[in-house]
Amino acid sequence: MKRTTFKQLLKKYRDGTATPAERYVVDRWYESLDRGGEKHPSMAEVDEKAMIRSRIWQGVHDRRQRTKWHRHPGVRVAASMALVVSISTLLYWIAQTTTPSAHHPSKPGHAPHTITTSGRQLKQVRLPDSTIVWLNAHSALEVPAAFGDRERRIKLSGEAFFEVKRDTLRPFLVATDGVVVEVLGTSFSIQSYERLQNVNVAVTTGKVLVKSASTPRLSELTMGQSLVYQKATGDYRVDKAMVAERPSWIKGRAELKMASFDELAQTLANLYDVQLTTDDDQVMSYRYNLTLESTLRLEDAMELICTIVGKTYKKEGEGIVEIF
Amino acid sequence: MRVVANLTDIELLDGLRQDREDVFEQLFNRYWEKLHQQAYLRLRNQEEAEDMVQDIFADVWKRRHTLEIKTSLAGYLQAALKYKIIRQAAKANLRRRTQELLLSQMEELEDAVIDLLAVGELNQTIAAAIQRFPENMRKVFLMRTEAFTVAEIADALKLSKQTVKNNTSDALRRLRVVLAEKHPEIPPSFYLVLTLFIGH
Repeated sequence: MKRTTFKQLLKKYRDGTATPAERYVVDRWYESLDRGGEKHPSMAEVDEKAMIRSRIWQGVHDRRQRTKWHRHPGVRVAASMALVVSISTLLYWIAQTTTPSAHHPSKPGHAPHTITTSGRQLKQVRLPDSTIVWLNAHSALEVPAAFGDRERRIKLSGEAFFEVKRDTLRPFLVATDGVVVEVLGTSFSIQSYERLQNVNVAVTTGKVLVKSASTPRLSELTMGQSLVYQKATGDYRVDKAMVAERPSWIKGRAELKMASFDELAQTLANLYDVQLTTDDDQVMSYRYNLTLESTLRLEDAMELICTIVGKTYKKEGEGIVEIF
Repeated sequence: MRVVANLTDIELLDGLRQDREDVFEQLFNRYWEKLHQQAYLRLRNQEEAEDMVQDIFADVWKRRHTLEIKTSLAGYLQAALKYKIIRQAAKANLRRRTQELLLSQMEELEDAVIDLLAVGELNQTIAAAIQRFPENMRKVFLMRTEAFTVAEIADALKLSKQTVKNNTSDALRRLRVVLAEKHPEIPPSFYLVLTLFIGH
């Protein structure tokens, strides 16, 4: 059957001008669409289900506020209020479910779509290929208009966890400070904050290829491996990583192991939207081992840090905390 | 917030008419998953399935004061989904992959109907009937079952399009008479479908 015939047939059905034969065929066709009751693949997972539910619920609200119906087949950003409750985090989730309607991905040559997060904010982004990206605080994800045409290339600054939809024909590439990570379908996280000296790639499932500007095949990582890339020198090392199914920051937890002061400061910026400073060399060079949760108050977190490093802290004006 | 538990469809609708958000949420909680599942099964695309479900519930809220449910809410929502999918597919408003999927499903249906012609006893009855067709009618009909278009057949057999059309519908009519006589078990809907797929 030709496309146009098909469309005409459905149009007639809709208008009520279809003959009995046409109605019969459309009815049978519609019945045949559910093909034996396969279940939605991810609905078995409680987390995923809660996420889908809250995305739809949020969408219903958005539509109720809009009179006109816009289709946004492009990038979708959502945050799950249900998840916030279920994982009891104080992180501030923002639903940004709409993309400007000018951003229609079928129109070539327009600007990339950028999703950013501020402090105390996480976002869950669904890309047009159904890849899910969790964006940690103070991060930005840039999705070009041509995403998915031949390859699925995006840019990241900050930290994100990716659950990449498998598509062997269109590789998925994440470019970040000095490093490109290429995958076909897998889940992995990247940490690449500007203020940090290293880029960190950790693989949860599957396999990824890490490239750098100078080396097309820096290293291939598999499940449970991580790579630390030194931005200044281009040196790298591969570690065995304890990789959880999803990184803990998605649930508002920051697990710091042998973390530098900059990493600690980044964590505080993410969780509390404060700028941590110090002039103290000892504080600067200390390696921090601690777990912070967004449910902890800033004051309690600072008490904890100061106890560890044997110092005190003071609040310096708007959003600045100094350890001395 | 008022606690609402296990309301009937009628109570839910009453609540909606009184603009009660909590009742709307309960309605949503009760039906979203099934509806999403149905949409996903048909569209095989998560995002489009979500879009449709969002639309349908937003619509329920928008029309809450005038909404009349004849069967049940579940039945109403299912019908809304069907209407929505047909509407979007008619406008080719869906992603290309989804649109192709829907079309291919129609083609499968079409193939199944045409395959039915070639099965066992039915096939023999049809073959015998076709043998008795006038030559042009036989050629036209066989080409139609091979999915040639009217124009293509007209061109190949050097006939006018109208002649091809007339031949096709005459062939179908004859076939129907023969089949109805020898195979009274064939439902009338089969002829309807046949007419649609071959007779056009």
